[in-house]
Amino acid sequence: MLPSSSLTRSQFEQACKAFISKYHDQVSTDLLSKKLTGWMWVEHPTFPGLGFMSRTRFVSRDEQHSAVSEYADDGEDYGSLSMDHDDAALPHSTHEALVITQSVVFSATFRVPAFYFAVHDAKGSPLPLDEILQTPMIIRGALPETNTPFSVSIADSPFPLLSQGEHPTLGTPSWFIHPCETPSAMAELSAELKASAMAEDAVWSEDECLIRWMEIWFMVLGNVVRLDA
Amino acid sequence: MVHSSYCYVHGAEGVCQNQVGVTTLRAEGSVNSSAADASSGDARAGRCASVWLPGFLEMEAAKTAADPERPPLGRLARKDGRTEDETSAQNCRTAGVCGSRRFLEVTKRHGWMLGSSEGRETVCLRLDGDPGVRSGGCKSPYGLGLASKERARRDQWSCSSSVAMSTYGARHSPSTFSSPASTTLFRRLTWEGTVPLEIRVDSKELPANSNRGLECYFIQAPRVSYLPLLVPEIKRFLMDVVFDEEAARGLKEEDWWFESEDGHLLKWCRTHVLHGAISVLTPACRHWPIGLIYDNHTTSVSTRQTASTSALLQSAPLRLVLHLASPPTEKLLLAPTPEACKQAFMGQLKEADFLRWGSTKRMTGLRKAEQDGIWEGIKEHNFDDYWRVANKVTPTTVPTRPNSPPVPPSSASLHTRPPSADPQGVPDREGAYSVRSVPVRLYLPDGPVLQDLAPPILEDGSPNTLSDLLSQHLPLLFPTPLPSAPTPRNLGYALIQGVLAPPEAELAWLGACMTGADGWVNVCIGLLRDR
Repeated sequence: MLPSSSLTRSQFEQACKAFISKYHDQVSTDLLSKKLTGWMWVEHPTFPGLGFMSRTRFVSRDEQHSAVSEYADDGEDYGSLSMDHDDAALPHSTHEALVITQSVVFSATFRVPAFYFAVHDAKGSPLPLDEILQTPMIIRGALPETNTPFSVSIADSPFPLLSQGEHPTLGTPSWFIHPCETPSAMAELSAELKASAMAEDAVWSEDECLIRWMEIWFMVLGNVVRLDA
Repeated sequence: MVHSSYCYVHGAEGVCQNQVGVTTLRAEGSVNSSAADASSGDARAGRCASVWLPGFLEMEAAKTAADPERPPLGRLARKDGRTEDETSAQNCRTAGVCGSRRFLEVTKRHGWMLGSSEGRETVCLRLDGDPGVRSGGCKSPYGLGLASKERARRDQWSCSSSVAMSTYGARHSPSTFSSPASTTLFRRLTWEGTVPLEIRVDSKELPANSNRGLECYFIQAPRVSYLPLLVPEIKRFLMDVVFDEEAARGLKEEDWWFESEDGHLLKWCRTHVLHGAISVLTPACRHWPIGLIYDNHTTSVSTRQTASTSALLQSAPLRLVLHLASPPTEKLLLAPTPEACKQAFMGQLKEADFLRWGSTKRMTGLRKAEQDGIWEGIKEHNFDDYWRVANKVTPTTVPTRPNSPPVPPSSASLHTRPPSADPQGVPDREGAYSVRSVPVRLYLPDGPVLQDLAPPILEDGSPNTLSDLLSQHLPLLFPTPLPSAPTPRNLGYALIQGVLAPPEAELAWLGACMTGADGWVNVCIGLLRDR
């Protein structure tokens, strides 16, 4: 059965493991699955049942200067991203690597996955919010935003879109995309998926249902966070 | 720390500048006193919050003495020059003790006189001698619980809310936002709880010419408050006593942050980062309420020492280091400013709202002024200001629930409706037993924070208790009773607001009475080491 607007924690664990397993073996050739690969399941060191998905991505800090040239390449090369620039024209090219640690955790309040991340420079210093917003990772919407040094809020929303919090399992300070809108988005999209599946008479196993649910969740997340970086 | 400006009769410090307050308090049982009495001695604490000019009662006294049949009307003179009509919707505190705006309005409207108040109790007398509950609804926490609890007297009538009934059977439909006495009492106790902090400025960061050796500040801080809110007070002390004015000029409060001195609490977190471990700062820099930081410290210590249970009750100050400059860049820090703290706090309130009711509309339905008012109540540490708004989103308990904690005997009148009209098991729709889930978190010592759905009533219809929750999530520390082992020995204990919580405490009740200011029941789990 395809979940609707929320998951239990054990469904979340099952879904993540099935999802990881599906995309683990795939070669990341197309842009779509590139968002979905590279994840691994991590447990709390001492306490069971608090697992989450995690992966690390590297981007070049130089990207913030190449806002126009979207990197069509896979994001894992350090220095080859500012392709449109003539390097000779730049006084010096700083291909400094930024480390983005991404997590998909279970939100105990909203009963959906939530996206947590931290961004560090090569020396291990955390990036301030304004620099994070200059990286391509966060997609700026059309709605007006209210920014503080610690959050980005959209008008009329009870919670900030992006703010600081503690990682639910590790307890470390992180940035996170607030999951309050996720349940309603997931309810709508999974209903659509279910309708089209019924129209096709498709029969899915429980794992397949959960994987598709996670794929939809990543799609919803993709409206806010660029995951193929 | 100076708290609210109520003037209490006993144990107060400072000077009450309101003659009305003083005379009212001192006059026992009588309504009207001359303002002349006020001039003799008897200073009260803080500054009486009454906005009414002194002499009001004196004025009324004279008129009533002349004509006992006359209900006390007449315009009240406010210190700020406004008239009653302009201010009827405002917060007009009564003279003396009861801070309720309702109290005054209702007393005036229904011809009741401000009665004598002893201590926190506010007693109303009806002019026509007819006993009974005032209509409307006294929102005063004092009148509500303490009056009827502490000194209900036959010949005087306690200030009662519309929820409460007098023993003569007057009935009114319960207000959504009224609270039974025991709820208010526990909320009051939670609010007034404090913990000792010892705050020392990092000696490497002291500005030039500071008075070294004095840079340690002890404070009994409210449990429900937050570290960034203590900064102004600490700064005043440091500027007065420690810092050289010139050298301290460059300091910016927004750069200040706290670190726990206990080295054990420094967490090293190995993430999947190229460059090894990232040093993460200790809980003192988180947006946790001060009481939670303290209790978590207590339970963390319990895992290391061989302290016995009785030692738990000793309250040693929590030692914190105050840094005056931004942290070194390799450390990751949640923004320590009051604004960040406020946003995190509002987020927690909304999450709690969502967990209870499935939507945040109660919180988002508040006007912006009210939402800001909640935070102001915390900043100013004002119980009434906070609960005036919080009452709209926090559920209350119905005292006639079968398994509720015992209600004080003197509040025999505190039934929402006569038993015949309230069949057992009919839930109060807004009540604590009707929520989807009680917002509760378990804090393991040095460990993760556990959060899961906690319905108020279990599937078998019995109330969900703390021991049910603990056995479910920490079965090794809190074994479930079995037929073969009906009274298993717990290996852990639970601290809620610094109190060793009884296992039979109902989660719904905890969710109404012992939440922090952010709406969450924070349970700190500690280990019992020996008998």
